Amino acid sequence: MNFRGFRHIVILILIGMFTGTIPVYARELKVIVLDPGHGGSDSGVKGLSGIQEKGITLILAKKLALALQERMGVRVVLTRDEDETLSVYQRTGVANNQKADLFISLHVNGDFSPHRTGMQIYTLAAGDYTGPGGDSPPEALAWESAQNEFFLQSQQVAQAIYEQASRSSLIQNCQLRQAPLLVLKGAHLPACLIELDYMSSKSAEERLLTGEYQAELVRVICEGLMDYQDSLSGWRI
Amino acid sequence: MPIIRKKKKGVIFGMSTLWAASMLVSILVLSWIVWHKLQARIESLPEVIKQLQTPSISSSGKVTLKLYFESAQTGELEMEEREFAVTPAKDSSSKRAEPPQLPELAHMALEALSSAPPGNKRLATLPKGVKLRNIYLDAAGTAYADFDEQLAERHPGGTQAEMITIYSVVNTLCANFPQIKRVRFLIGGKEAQTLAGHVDIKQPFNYK
Repeated sequence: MNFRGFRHIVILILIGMFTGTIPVYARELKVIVLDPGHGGSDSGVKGLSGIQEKGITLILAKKLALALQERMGVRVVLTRDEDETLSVYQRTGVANNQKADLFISLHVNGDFSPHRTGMQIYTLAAGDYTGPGGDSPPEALAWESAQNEFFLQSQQVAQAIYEQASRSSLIQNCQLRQAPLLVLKGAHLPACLIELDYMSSKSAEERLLTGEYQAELVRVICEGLMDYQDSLSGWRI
Repeated sequence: MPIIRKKKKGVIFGMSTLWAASMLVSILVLSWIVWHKLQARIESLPEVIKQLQTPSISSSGKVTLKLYFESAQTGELEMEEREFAVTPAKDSSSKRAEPPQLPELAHMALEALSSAPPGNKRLATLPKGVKLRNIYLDAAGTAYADFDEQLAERHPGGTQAEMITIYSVVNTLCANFPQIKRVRFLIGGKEAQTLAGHVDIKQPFNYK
């Protein structure tokens, strides 16, 4: 190590001593895996006009992939780029095998109310179903607990997108949620699932089909990820 | 030598007979006491289970159950109490009326979740036509709610709707039957990964 490198380390240690924190280096986003929810024989939520969730998620994933490549310069991998059936494990497996830095699963919501609208951003809920008689079998622990070490980073990603979506005039309502989602469980990387809006609502379904609303959804997710990227870049105190 | 042997044999025979007889009587008395104690406990056991398993039934033959519906406004679960008229079944052997047991009351409660309560404030949380095939309870307090395939086929899908369905069932069962600590879902008698593609239902859910 040369004198300059040694001097940087001394300065960082001194800063850490003064601020009471330890400098942390976080990895930048280079590879993002986008997962268009459902597909093939699994059509997902069916809209009132006959539109299917699997089609909307694929359109949005392709548009988001282009935006992320152009604006962030990252490599984007889609779990599917056509109408094909994939298991949940195949989707998460793509993200793990690509050694990606972020996994985002795109979905469209459904509800028993025909009036519910808005975006929900989910991260994995930490074991609200464990307990006596509810423990995972030992052979499943590696997959079931893969996301555990990324809870904090996943929540930071979700929070960054949430903040952008909350400022949007087109997105009527945005919520941060946690749930035991199967597609996030085995992800050994920061991961979240975005329910873009509700297809059980006629007004939201019509809005989802417009280019303007799709562009806004792409913008808030992209800018949320850019904010997250900024918070990671370089040395962070 | 022959005299000594004869005398010794008689003494030994007398003592051992007395000892064996007293031991036998003691064993018989102890067995009788233990048997009667066990019998009394076995006879009282079904009554204890009935008290645990069933919410109280009023003198007019009604039971009040707690049901969890989705709030139309917030999208969260809300509890409301509803009275159900129960017809006590006649026990053919003893000719006395038996109060409904856990499976019957659980069927009543869960099938009520398919219909929205009057008014527009609360929504149904199970699709119409869904049937609870059976419900089982293990010794650890895990209930297995076995729904027919209609639950997956008719479900609207989406994470919000799946979470609402799951926790409305879990909370309704746990709130009415204290011995149910957690609930596991089966569809058509089999384990399933999800209801409609999102929430992992391979493991039991706790009361929330």
